[in-house]
Amino acid sequence: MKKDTKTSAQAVELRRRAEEGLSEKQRSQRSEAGDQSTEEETQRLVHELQVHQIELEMQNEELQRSRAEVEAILGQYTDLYDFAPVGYFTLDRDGTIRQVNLTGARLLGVERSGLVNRRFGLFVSADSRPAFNAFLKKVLESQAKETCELALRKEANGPLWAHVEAAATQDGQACRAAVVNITERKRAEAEVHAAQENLSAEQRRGQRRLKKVIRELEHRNRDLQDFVHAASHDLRAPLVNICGFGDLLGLACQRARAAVAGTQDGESLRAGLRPLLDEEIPESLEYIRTSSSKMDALLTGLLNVSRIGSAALTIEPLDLNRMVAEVVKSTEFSVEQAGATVQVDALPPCRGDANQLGQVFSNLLDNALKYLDPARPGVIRVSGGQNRNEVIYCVEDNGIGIDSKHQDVVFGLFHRLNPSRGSGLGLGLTIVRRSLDRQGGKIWLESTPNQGSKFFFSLPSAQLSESAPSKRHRQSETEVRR
Amino acid sequence: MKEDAVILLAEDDDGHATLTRMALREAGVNNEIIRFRDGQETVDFLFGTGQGPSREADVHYLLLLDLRMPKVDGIAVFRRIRQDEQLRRMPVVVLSTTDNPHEIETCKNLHCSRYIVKAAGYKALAEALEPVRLLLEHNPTTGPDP
Repeated sequence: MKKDTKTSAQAVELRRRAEEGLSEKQRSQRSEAGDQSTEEETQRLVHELQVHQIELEMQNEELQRSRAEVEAILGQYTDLYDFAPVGYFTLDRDGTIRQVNLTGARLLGVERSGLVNRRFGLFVSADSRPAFNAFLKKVLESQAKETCELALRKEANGPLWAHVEAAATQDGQACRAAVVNITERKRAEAEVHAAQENLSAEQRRGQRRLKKVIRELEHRNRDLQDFVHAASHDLRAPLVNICGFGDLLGLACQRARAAVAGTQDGESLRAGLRPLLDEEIPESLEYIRTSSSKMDALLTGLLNVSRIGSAALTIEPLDLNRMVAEVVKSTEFSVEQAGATVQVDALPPCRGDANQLGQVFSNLLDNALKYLDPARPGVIRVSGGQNRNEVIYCVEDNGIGIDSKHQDVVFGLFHRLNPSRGSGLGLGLTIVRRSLDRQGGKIWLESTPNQGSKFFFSLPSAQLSESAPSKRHRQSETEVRR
Repeated sequence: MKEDAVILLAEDDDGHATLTRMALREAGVNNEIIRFRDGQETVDFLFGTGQGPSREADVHYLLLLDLRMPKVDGIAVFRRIRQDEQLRRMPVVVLSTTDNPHEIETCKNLHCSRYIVKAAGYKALAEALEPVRLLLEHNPTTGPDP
């Protein structure tokens, strides 16, 4: 054994030094004393003893130094092992903990004595256990160092995430594993991940918003194009009459001149002029007059539509009960004429522009009145209700109704389903839709021919400080009867 | 078989109808003209769905069709004609107040014989209606084969 050889060499060396020390002593004593044989013998014994004594003293010294050294090394080892910044486990083939350092025990929150001879797997969370079993198998089979990340069980503060590096011992009967707490890193990673998720969700939301705005713009653009086409179409119609009949007037004048120039006889002159003066010219003038008025009305109407689309809005919480009562009052005459009844339920408040909303109700009432069925007394009802963040109002009539194939065109510019019914340009519902559009509302309709129509529209609801509307169908009827 | 085709004028505007009638005479078209005030009247005549007079089997017709009409608009009338086995070859001349490319496209796809923009001015209107005379002179009986 290496160590033993070293020790005996040390002993020999010690002995040599001891002898040297003694002969040094004797040399100085010899100069003081004379030579005698017994004395010599005694002295030889004494010498021997003294050598032994010194030898022992030196051995003792050496032993003490060695022991100090060993203690220091043990201290160092303990320090290195137990207080290493990583948990250190020695596991045997079935995962039983053979040895563990203090950091490892602290990591698991269990006394070291409570860990040894227990299976490491007990401290792995259920979710990570299959991964741990596979990992242990892999480590024991391979010669290389393996790593994995596991969730460990700890009493408080949720799971503890550990990074494990392990390698099998030479004989493959155990493995040594270094375990580092990476819970903080995991948490940070999760936070980054969540932040990224949030960010991309935010981006997606932004993109969705953008797409919506683009769709809206496209929609508006199409609306505008349709508007211009319809407007030019309808403005040209009276123009065709004005120009055409204007030309006919010119022709009539020519014929009148020719008649005047070509006839001396008053009777035949009158006969020639009469059809011109009595029929053709007045007819042409009448067409020109009506077409001009039509054109004037169209332009005024277009201007109204345009104003509805461009007037500055004051969006505010509105009490519709008062507003609708006023609108109904202003249509009193037409309602009387039509022999109709208007019922107004309690209406919830909303957010909108007072002027434009007044116009909306007014147009819808006009529309309902215009298309009542003469076969039965007209009943028009205005109602409203809350629907989540919006309020929905309904103007309902029992009139002639609208065939389903016409229901999507009634909001179009200058569209009149039945021009024989009353006057109008076909702008009322166009204005209503445009106005509601600007106020953040929508309009749609349900209608059954010969039964009546329901025009619904939605607007953002108001957070009025006063008490909210009580019940949807509380009938505080404002009736206008003839 | 009647010799001359009958012109069907589907036009809601009284002034336009009067001017068109006169301008056709001015353009030398002397065929009989029957006028309808809206799409429904036109459809009723063509398909015999109304109570009034309806199409006769041995008469050739040429339809002058205004697009913007109440109740049933011109395009809807046009579609029904092209879907009908007997009427699909009837010549249809579209009269419109505008040269809206979208409308022209739609009418071309329905094989209109002509797309005429109603001119502002009597003489101009008569000139614009010239092609109707030519159509009647050349082949009053058949329209395009859709």
